[in-house]
Amino acid sequence: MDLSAEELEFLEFAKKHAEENQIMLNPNERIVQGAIKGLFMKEEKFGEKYCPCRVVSGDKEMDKEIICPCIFHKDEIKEMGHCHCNLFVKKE
Amino acid sequence: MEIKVNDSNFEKEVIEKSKEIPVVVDFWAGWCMPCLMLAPVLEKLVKEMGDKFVLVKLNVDENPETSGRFGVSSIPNVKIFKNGELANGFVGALPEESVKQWLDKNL
Repeated sequence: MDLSAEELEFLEFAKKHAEENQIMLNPNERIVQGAIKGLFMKEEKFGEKYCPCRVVSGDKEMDKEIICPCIFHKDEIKEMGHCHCNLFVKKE
Repeated sequence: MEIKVNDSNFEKEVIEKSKEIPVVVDFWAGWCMPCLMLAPVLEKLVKEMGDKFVLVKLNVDENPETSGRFGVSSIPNVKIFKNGELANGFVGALPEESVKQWLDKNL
């Protein structure tokens, strides 16, 4: 799976976000690339990088919550060891 | 054989069908990696468990009406319909053993 220049740029952003928040990107590259492609597909379809594993309700205000990195990911990582779409995981 | 359902045929293929045999609906989307991890598990189990249930798939990005109707907000989201009604469900890419136990309990 090849990432476009824009997708690579987001990958760098996600790495930086992970470092700043004591979490990690999923060590499984295929999952990371798939999640990033999903974010860009959602942006193309709905206008924002909404989580590829969440349904866009159409309520712009409410849907802000699921723009990656979503408001749920830190709690999910604490509880499950990974965020819902598996892009971010607990630091080993 | 994978059965795709959508907003227009859901009533017939799932609600009506579930009056004859339980129907398990896999709410998924293309680039949701957990969805891609769960799909082969469900397909394996429906083969193994023979004629106990029917497995169908609904793409949530292409079918907002049905996803909204059943309150699907995150995926993968699996729901079982029996006797024309929603009976139970789970969210997330559970391991095969957990999915098998859920099916055994709900069929």
